[in-house]
Amino acid sequence: MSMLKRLWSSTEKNEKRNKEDHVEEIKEVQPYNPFTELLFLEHHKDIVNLLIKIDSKRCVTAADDCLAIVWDIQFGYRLVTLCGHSRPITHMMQLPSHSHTHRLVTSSSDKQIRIWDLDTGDCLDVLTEHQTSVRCLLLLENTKSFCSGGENLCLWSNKGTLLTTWTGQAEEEKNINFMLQIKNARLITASEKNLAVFVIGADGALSLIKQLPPHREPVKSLINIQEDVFASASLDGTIKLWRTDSLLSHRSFNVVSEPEGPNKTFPYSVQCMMCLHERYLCAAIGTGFAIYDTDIGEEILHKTNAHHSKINHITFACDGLFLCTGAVDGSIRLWSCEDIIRDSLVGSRGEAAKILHQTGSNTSRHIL
Amino acid sequence: MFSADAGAVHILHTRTRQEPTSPVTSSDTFSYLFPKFSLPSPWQQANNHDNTWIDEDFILIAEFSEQEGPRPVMVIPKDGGQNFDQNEFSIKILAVDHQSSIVEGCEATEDAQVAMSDSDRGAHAFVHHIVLNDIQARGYVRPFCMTYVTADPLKIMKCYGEISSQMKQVARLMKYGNRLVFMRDLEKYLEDLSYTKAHLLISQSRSQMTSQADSDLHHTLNMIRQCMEEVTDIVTSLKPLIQGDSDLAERFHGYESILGKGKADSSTSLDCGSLKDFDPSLQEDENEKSGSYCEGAAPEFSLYRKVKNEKPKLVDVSSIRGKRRFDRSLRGLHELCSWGAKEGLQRLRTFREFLKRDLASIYTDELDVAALDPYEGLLRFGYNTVGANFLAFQSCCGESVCVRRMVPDLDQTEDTLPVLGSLESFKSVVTSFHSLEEDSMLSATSSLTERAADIGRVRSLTSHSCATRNSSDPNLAIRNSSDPNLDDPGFMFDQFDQEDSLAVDTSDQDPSDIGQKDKTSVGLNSSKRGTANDLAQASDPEEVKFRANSNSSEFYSIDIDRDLKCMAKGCKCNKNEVKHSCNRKIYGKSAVPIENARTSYPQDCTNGKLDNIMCDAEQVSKGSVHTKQSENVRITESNERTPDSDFEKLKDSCENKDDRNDNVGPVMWDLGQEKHGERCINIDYNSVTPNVSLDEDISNDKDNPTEDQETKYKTEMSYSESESVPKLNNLSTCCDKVESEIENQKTPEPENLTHVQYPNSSADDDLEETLVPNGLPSSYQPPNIARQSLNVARQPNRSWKFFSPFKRMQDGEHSIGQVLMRVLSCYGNLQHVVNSLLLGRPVVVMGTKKQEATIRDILTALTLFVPVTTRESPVNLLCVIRQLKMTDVHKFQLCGVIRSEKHSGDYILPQSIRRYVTVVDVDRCLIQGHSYQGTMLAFLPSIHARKKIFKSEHILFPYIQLCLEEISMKAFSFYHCITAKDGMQDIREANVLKRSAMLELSADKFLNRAGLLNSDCRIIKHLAELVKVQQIDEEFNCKYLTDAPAYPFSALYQPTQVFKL
Repeated sequence: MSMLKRLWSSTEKNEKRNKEDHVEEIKEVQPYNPFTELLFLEHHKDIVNLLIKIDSKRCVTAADDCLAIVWDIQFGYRLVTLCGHSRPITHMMQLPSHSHTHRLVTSSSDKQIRIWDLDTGDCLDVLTEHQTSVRCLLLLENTKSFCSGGENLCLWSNKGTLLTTWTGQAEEEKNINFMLQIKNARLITASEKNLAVFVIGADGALSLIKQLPPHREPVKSLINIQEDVFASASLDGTIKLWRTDSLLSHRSFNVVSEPEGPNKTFPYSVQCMMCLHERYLCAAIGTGFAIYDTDIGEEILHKTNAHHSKINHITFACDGLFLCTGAVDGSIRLWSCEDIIRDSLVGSRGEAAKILHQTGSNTSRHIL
Repeated sequence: MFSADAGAVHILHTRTRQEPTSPVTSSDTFSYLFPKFSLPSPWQQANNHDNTWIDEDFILIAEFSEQEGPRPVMVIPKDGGQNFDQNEFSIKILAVDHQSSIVEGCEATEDAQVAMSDSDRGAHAFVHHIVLNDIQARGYVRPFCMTYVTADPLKIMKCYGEISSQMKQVARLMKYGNRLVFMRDLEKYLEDLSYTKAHLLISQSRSQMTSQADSDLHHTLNMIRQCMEEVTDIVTSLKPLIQGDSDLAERFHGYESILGKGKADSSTSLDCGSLKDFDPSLQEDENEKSGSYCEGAAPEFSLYRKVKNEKPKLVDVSSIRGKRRFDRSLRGLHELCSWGAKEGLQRLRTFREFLKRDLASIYTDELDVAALDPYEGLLRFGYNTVGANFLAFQSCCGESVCVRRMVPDLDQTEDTLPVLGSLESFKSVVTSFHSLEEDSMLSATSSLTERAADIGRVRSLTSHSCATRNSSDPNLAIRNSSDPNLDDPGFMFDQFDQEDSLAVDTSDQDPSDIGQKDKTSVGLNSSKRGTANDLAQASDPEEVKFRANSNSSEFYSIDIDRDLKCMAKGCKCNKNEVKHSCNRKIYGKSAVPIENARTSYPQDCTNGKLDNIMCDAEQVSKGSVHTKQSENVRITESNERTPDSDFEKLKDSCENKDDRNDNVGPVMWDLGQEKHGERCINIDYNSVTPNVSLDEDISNDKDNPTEDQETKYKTEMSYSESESVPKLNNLSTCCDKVESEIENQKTPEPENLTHVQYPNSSADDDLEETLVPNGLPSSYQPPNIARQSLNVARQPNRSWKFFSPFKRMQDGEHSIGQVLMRVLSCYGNLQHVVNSLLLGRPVVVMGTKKQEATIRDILTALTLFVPVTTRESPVNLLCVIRQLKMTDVHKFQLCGVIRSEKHSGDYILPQSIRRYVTVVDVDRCLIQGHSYQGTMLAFLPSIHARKKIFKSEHILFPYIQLCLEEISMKAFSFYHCITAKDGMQDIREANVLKRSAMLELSADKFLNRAGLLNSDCRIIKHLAELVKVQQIDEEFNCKYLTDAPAYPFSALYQPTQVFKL
């Protein structure tokens, strides 16, 4: 959901691992909240869905108003507006920069993929060969190409030429929402409940090599943990860890017997996952969040009822000092991670600090 | 070939113009090449319309007379529109019925404004209809209209807003004067009626009557009773209208008292010829003032000196009802409106002078003026009251940016304008009432002698003039009136410079002057009071200067339309002078309030003693040195700003200053030409770099901490309740206005207030008046010296307006001053709210529809404290049904929310929002916000606690402005010490965190030294931040074409408290 429309809420400090149902609130006094100035970037006319950080001074947002806007996040003004799509933008991805130009690829449900120059706002290329609504994009490492997923799966060169197309036969293969690259030039795609593995041949051809055992409910998140481990999570709350070599699920977390909950609200659904230090998995589960150790398969921490409603996004802020959660209720909460992890990793504080230090540099600070 | 053709065309063209009816000679071979139209002359637009009727714009005042029908009453100027059929035009413009909205009862008719074009005559007119009351007239009403007639079809529409607001102003003046007169007449009539009634009853009891006569008497009495009821009804409905306008009341009252004083002094003055008609009994009866209506003090409206104990006369009963005769000729405009007519007509006259010029030149002037505004780095508060100019960089203060240009003919017209304000002239009007001769009442020839009379009066009024001052007075006076030296351009400049500085000066020193009159001292913060001796010593030399200035104040305060003149002068100052005044504000900021504050002068400071001190410059400087070293700087400054005081003294003290403070930059003295024994001193403050203030602070720190002096400012504040207050007040506000006008005339976004109209609002007009500055009444501001500025092109996006919105400060029934007074006296704890505003924390004033008026008032008052940002509209009024969201909150600084009854305040402003805003709940009389703990805003509770001292907006308003200036001054020095400091370069290499830590440290150090407490620190930091943001904006405007940067919304996570409103 939108990052821009989220409202700033409160910091909660010294979080206790209580299992109480009520959501903690902080009154006006927030001595640990480092954010004292907010910039409101206003130009979108519809719900903002996507936000990518370009560099330390710029970010780009896309909303349902079919526009993508590049912002200066230092002063908070609009740099360029990328307009051209006729349907909402579904995915954005920055192409690796060469010759000092920043290029952005946007995919849209208007069956187009556009390549933009981020500095000037010019549309460099319009790719129409995908021919179906594009749902996701994936930049392939080590190759100068990227993938687009939807009903088809297309492989494009960085210049925007179509290399190959693969069209699924079965209905369940036709709705690719998430893609992930794993080692040995393989792709994991998630369409609804199903996970499929593709291999990109040396000639650039795409071939389906395996269908993985499906989740019970649609897959909501797909991330890499380590080089040989990736994780997938679904609406029912189940998080599965897979080995890339055997393509088998070796571990699963948060398995709930009755995932649907009242009125099919799926209170345990996983909306977002994040990996720390190639070992710890941080997941937004329902209105709370949890941190798992993927090595030993333990749940380090599980905070239920962190928000009034489902957490949409999870990240680190302030050089990893805070875990930052944003939810549908319009609030963003900062959680003091150090305490959380120290509490949970009893006796291994040094390691926790290391985690935080390393992850901190990778996370972006979102300015609202 | 081609050139030959062109020549032929030229010849032909001229021929065509000479003989417009004769066709182009057909014999010409090349006739088909010639244009078929005549080239329009850009300078004779009127002639293009074949308009021979209107040579020049004029203002026509017409009346729908009950005897003759529409008729012209007066034309401005006297000989205007001579070729124009005024009678016919009057019929045209008076063919409206704007009074029909009144259904029954007594109700003040709304004015109506019509813009119309008469294509037959090529006349384009702006008509303002007003209804005046006249007890002799049918239905007590007499419809008048004021019409601005021009031949330029564009002018009316281009200048619509301005003409409209000017007309409103004039109408306001006239209606107020008229209501006073009408009120007086009504009361008189009431008296007569009751007398008649009593008479009838007595005569009945004496003689036995027949039943027929008895019933007749009964009938008559009944009629009288009905009539009295009716009149009482009108009186009661009229009274609040009159009392609502305390500003005008005070102004008129001021004229009265000047008139009275002039009267009293006339025996000693040089020329009392024009005053000798006055009845000496006038001065005996202090209550006989017509200028104001107040129950206790002045129960009578005796402008025309109704004999106090005049016997009521019998009213002819038959004429009371049904049989009234309307054959008497009715009174003239002057009789109807008293002071209002005089002031209103004068305003019209000045206004016409401004607007009669070609539209292009008006426009050019406006552009020129707009180019002057150095708004970069300017800290302003609501209504564009300037706080401080933070011009930080040398480039901004460059001297040679502006070239003076003088348009001689324009200047001449300005100076041959009738000099306004001598009371004698009013007197002559009072006696003659030749409406159409109005223009002759102020002839340039007579003004000279009038001035002489003025001087005499001034002298006797103030009675403490020193020798030097006296010697310069007559010259000043002569020069102010139309004088023989007009053709000397250099001289003109001098005069403008000097007048300008005078105007500025008096504004600063008025409060002190007031305090001087009445030595009531009010310890606002008595715990911090310094030693009495110290103060006395410090005040002595200053007082001398105030005395000197008070002369000029008195002198100028005689002007009726002082503000107009100030405006004129404000316009005349060139860029250099603008900067001068800006910087004076910065530089002299700390000095001004302190001087003003120290007004509890020792009782034994007699005038004689003062004269001594005054004349002895050595002593002055010694005195100032004796008190404090840092004081020295300030005192000399005040010397500098006293242009008409003894130059020797100035020089001495200036040298003194230079000796003592080596780090003070060189002060340049620009001595005016000493013609006529007049010394014009033009101090270039630009040469004094901003560092001076820092140095000053540092030196203060060594000797005696800054806060000592700053707090002293608050310790003593004297205000007078003496009679002289109103005059002075008038002056001070209008001079304040000038200052800010100079700096703020062309704010980039004049519409600081936006306004969402409440759907069912009944008081639309009212509302417009309160919140939209665009339609603000404003005053005449003729930019007579056109300025040529090199950076005109830099500000292409500025909308041009003729007059500054700032005028609103002075006028109007809902004038900010009056509203401010109401709000400040009614509500306590406002310092917490103002604190929020100064911190950038949004303030929501919330209430239901019932409290709309209150919300408006609070908004209007609080707007004064909103630091002006260039980016968004900080104040608005919303009618809110839905919940406020975070994205709404950051858009305003001050917002009035009228919620519907259905939703509670808690719903409209949910708890999550309340964290970030300060809520003034009018419904529950609560304020929820941060508690203010500091000293800077202590003036607010003190005003609340001392309502009686701040009786008039003219005292209150400058006081608040001074306080705000004080705050901006602190922000200014903070900004230069910390933010723009060169020392920052040392840590420029360090990483961000370290830099911010260093910055924080030095900021804290500075604030500690400045003695600023917790809340004050934050205010200062925020204000400095605002200026920084402005500079970012400015850079943006120059460099990029993108959006402006977003304004950071600062969120303070501090506990809020609930206060009683």
